Amino acid sequence: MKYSEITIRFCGIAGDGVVSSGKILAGACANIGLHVMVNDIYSAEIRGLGKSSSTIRFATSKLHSMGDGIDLLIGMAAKDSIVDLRDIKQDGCVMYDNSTPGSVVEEESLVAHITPEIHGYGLPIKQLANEASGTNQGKNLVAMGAICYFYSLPPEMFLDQIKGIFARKGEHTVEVNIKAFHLGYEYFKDNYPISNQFEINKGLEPKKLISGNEALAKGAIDCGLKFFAGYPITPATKIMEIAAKKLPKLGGWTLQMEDEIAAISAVLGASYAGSRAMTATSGPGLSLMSEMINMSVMAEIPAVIVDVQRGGPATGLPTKVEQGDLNIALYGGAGDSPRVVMAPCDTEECYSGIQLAFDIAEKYQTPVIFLSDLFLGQRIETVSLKPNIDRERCTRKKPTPEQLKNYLRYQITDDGVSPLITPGEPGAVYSVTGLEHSVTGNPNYESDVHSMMTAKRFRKFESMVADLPQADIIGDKTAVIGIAGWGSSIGSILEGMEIALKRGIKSKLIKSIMIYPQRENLFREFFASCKKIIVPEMNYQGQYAALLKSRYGIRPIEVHIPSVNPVSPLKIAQKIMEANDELSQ
Amino acid sequence: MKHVIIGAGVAGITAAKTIKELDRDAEVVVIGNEMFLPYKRYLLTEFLCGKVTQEDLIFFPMESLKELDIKLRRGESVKTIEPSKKSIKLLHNEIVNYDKLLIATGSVPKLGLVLRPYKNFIHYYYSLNDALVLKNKLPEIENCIVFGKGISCLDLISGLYNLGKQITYITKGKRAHFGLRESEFKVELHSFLEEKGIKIITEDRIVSIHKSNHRYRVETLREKNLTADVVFGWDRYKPNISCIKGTSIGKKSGILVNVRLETSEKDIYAAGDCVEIYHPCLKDYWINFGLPNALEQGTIAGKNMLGREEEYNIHETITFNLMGKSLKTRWWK
Amino acid sequence: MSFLSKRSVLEELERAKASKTKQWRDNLPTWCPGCGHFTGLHGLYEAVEKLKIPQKDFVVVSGIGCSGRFPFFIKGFGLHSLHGRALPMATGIKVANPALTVVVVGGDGDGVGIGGGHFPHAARSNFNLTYILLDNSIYGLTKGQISPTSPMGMKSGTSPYGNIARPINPTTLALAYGATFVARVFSRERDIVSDIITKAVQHKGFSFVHDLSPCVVFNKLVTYNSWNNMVEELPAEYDPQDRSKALALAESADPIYLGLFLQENRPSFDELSNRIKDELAQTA
Repeated sequence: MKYSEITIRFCGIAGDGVVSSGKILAGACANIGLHVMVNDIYSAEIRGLGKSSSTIRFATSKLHSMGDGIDLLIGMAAKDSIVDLRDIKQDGCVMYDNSTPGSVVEEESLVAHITPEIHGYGLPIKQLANEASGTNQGKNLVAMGAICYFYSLPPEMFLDQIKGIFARKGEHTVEVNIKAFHLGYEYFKDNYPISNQFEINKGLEPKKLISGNEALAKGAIDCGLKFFAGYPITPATKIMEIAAKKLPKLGGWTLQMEDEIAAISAVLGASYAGSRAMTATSGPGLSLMSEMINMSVMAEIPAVIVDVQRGGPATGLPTKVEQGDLNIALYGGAGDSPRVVMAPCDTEECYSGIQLAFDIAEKYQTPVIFLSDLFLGQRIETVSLKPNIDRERCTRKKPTPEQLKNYLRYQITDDGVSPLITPGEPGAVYSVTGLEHSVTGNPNYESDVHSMMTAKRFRKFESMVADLPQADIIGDKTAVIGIAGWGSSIGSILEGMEIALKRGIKSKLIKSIMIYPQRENLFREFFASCKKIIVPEMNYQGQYAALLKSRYGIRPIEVHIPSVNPVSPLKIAQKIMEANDELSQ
Repeated sequence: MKHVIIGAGVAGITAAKTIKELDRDAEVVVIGNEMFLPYKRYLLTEFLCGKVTQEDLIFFPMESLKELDIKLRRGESVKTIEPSKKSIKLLHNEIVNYDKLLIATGSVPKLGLVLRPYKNFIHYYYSLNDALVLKNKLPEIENCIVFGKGISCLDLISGLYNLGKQITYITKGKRAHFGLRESEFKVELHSFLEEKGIKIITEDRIVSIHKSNHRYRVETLREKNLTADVVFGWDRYKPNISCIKGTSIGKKSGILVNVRLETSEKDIYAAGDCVEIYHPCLKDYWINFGLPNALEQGTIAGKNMLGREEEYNIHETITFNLMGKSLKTRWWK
Repeated sequence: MSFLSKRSVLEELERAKASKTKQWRDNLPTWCPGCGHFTGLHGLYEAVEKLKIPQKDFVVVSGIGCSGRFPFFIKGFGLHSLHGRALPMATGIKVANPALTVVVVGGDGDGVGIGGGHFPHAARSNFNLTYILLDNSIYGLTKGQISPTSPMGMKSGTSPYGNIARPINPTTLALAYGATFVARVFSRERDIVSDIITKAVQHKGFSFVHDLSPCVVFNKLVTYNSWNNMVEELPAEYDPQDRSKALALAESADPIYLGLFLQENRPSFDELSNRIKDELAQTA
């Protein structure tokens, strides 16, 4: 078989080196210029023997999603890998350890569950690792050797990687791991005559691997983040860890607070004092932050709140993905509480999008909720992050000397944005409050004042539109099947559209990092040009569809996937084909 | 009722099919040590020569497995059998329980003591695996040495000949006869091959093989030094019965069975190339090699495993096609 | 007016004329006449005046409740935050700009009720903040319901049959949480309140002032008079260095001791975080 794209999953328990396997393979592929995407899944349980898996997809062309199914499963932990068998594609393969000591009952044997559609390859993983290291160390390298042979990949790409990764652990470790690699390679060579060939173009530039969370943190730091406050929560913690490491070096600071309420409070405090400040959390944390986000709306204090969504409600599914927080992001405030909601669709947008989020927050003195998700945040991918040099960094609107003489914190302006000075700056002092207030900032509950101030707060969202990026329309502009997607499911939608196109069905996609506000005219035009509109998303309710229905009066085909795994491109392709069937009837 | 069948060759799969056709509810697990779907071994040379595709080799496709709900476990071998616990243990230490067990593990080429040290330099030609490896190497091969006996040896020579390779055949016998004792063709066979350009070395054998520069140097008993790109060799075919080691299942060179294909252990049957059947007329055991035997024995074993009583009649000849000539052969005792 | 009984009205007028705190006055307080909070406000006027803190560098952060309006009554920057969230917001301000003088003002419900979870962490981190807790043992802004510091048996709209929960002692909490400056004052004693608040603002680290500040309208049980009979100054020989002794004295319900319980010299959050930043800058 010839391949230009392969998906491999390592599955095991602690000590099997599952995650490091993923890193080595991904690193090796990235080094020779392949496009790589890695999705690690951990169990939510802490116990040391919890199952984890690392899925690596690599290809010669750009990847948008994890695709459908896996080509090769490496079942390091037999029993725990059984459920993963069903993800193997037709004619896919599984490698299993045929050197485990003791007895295994049929029910718990990985091999016993291999169906005829897939091929099982025994590999004495433990035995060969022992041969190499005298311990279980190097099990993953044995498997790596087998993979290398299996797909006729050049061994050097792995050897370089192994040397790089293990160099700091000493020469002996490097040797042992290289030996383990060779033993796996040789075993496969001796036992399985395979003519799989992965096509590699030689001489490509090495690519960099980065996760969505890392890209997001880097983006925030690159655009002047000075203060981060947070509370550890899966799957957002990584962002805080990066901020904690980097900010003190840049004169900033990261505070781990006692809860998410305190975290967002500190962010608002820091922002009030003039810093670019953010927090990152997941659904449960966002719920706790609701009131303080309202404070940000009311007192017009800039704040960036990242929600790396996971399955909900309540504690929900901490280690599984879902796009279920759109409603709380949009509507989770008491009263008329407008807030900017953004959702990046890939790692590159995590980087560039968070910078836009800060610019909007600072310029328009508003909270921005940035909806990433577990899949987007944790997956590692080869990307090139472009610094936002084409756009000037937005800053807070400063009062003119004239305005400063009789400073009004909430001065009524055409664009709704009032000039802002921060504590420590000379010229004027003022107090802000979560109470309704007059232009001075003093509490005021008069009906006229409330109407005027509410209108002012909403006016900012109208004036903001001109600053927003255009919505992207992807695919065949003449197609009559239109898809509107958001967030990380966009990747699967793009691949689903490609699958449908291969079967001769054209479609087009409208996507925007902006959920609220949007460039509505572009959406209206797009919808007007479609005969069928599909809105797929990873939640049960169809939260984005509900938004589009009420905003644009469309009647889309809603695809609700209350997902624990990233959306399957095939499923999207099916929906496109169904829509096509309905049109041709 | 759980029927476990060791061996996914013709006999094993035929038995599985027979069982499922007669009893839809029976659970059937077939354990085969090869990675492929059950294939027609006798067509391997046709495949090697590119006359049939790998697809064509398959005699029991995926759909049939699914339709009959037969669980085929590929690429696995059995380490031990424990008749007292009615279970078998696979190479990776998995325990599989059974109600009825059929051993249909076929035969394998074996090397004698002299050649065994050189086994890494010898190319087997027995399984699809061997054929695939060979097929990959074909462009680099010009000269071949074939050492061995039996009809499969002749089959290989014929295949290599059709592929335009230079062949040297080494035999211990005085003439090249491939065990075709009763063939009307046997007398002419030696000269027939020589006429076709095949070099035959008689009354000799390989004593050592060495590798140098991707080629193999072969030394014979009569101190001949030969060089080739590939060396095929085996001393004999033997029933593949390593899995019954350590059990009380009766055996000679194969597993001993009666005409109902029952072994000496209760609920354990055996069929195909791995058995020796008691020949009531000869009052002795026979090894019956070959496809028709396997087919018939598989059917009979399957029926008997379901509690029916069928007996096997020994066949004595099969037809073999050599370079366009039809040969008849009787399998040997 | 009984709570000013120790001085004559004339004396008061003289003092008011001489006071330079006028420039710190902002909006007219909305509190009820006689409210204990006036004393706290006055104390803060005097502290910032005495310490010559520039108004542009002065931030008062409050929560929700009668005490919440504090920022509007004093010049400088003000942040009237959400109920219970004054401390974490102030934390953010202080970390973002350590040059600011940040004073947090809150009530008993705000500080040890809804915001009770923030108090320990602000204290143990030793942020360089001053936290004035104006304790009237009642929810005044919602017109009289029991608070976390209300005595047992107290009847109110939400405890018609009497409060059956033990009251919290905020001074003890502050000591237990690791605050490095802990004092208790009584709104009757204006000079002491001013003096202690001044010291608290000067203190490097987390300073906590527990001000017994009666609600003259809704709290009929805890009043100037009831406290008057129970309060007593800390013994003259008491040295505010020992946390365990401080805890024992703070726990005492009769008498209720007033004064500086503890002042410790420990590096503040600013100092420690700056140390890390400096080290990082050197290694970079």
